Amino acid sequence: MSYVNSPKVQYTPDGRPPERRNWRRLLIRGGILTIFILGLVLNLYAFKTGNLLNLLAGTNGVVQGTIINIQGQPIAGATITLASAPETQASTQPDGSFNLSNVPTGDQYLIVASEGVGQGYVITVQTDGVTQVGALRYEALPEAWN
Amino acid sequence: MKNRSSTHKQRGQSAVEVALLVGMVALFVIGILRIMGVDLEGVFCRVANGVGLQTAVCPGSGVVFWDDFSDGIEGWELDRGPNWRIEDGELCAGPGPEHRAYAIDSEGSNYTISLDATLKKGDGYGVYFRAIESNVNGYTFQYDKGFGAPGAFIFRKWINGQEMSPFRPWQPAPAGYQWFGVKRHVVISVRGNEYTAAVDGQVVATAVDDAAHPVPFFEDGRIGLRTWGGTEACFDNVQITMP
Repeated sequence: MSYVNSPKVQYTPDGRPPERRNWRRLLIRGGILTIFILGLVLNLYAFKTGNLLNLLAGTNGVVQGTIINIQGQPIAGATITLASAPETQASTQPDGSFNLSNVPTGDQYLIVASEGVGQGYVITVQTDGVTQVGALRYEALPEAWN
Repeated sequence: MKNRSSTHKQRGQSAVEVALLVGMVALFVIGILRIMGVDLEGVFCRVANGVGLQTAVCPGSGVVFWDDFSDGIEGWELDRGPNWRIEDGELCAGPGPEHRAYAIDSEGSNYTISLDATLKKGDGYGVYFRAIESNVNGYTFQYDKGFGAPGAFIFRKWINGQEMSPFRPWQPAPAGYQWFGVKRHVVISVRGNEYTAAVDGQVVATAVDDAAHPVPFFEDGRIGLRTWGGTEACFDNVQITMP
């Protein structure tokens, strides 16, 4: 290639040659930014679902109540658990009462199971305290089917 | 005098020659198509499906899973129960404790499940859908002889392995319904939060899961089969079609 046909170097108004883009650096910066944004989104999600909030604040509560059948009689030996935390469990006493501890605060889906069939109840668990849900009527047994 | 028959000129080819000729041409065309990379099985299946023929090899458009159990129980994860077996070309379970099996490659969200099923004895059988994890989260349609006095067709939700109370309203079976010994064609439609089940062409159960936080809703998962309560049941031609 002759000198005449060689490409021109475009100079900036202050006489310096243009700054070349460092693509590698840009790529690394972009990656760091992406990871940061992803981390932020994940943390926001965890915060919103309550798990992180509970972990930070240590605000798991206690739920107390009684399980009764359609005749109003207490149901003994029913299993109480949570949809969001199946490891949190309790059983009802002969008088139908139960005490479920270590329950994350906020709205929860409480599952009562007796004779292999579960029924769910939406409850709201208060922060740092005992939430009384009263008498929960269990209607999943065969006598209530028809 | 000449014998007419011996002097008769034979023109054209015999049927055998024509058949051989056609066969050779067909072989030549197949060879050329194969060299060109044409999917001959696909072509065959399109033709077969076009005339209404559906088989495990050519299950038809939209079919993402098909099992007629001609090659055994491969493709199924036997989760519970000791008595899963192939019997007369069908997948059978029980009698005994609860049996569960999941179709391995049946992940999906909206689909239609169809199968032939025969309840031989016991309380009933169920078909899982959108089931995730062994300790199941998901749903079942249940052909439930043991539910109430006449039996019923019901949809249930499963949460953390716990079988939940059926979706209401459930539909009791008609009086005198023949539960046992009849091969029934079951079709379950899963669309969004609406589920419909038909047995032998009759809609027998519908359910709408209007769950909102904190009640769990399951958007996708596998299909499966279950029996319980001393049931013995057999299943065949399990098919999943996606819209």
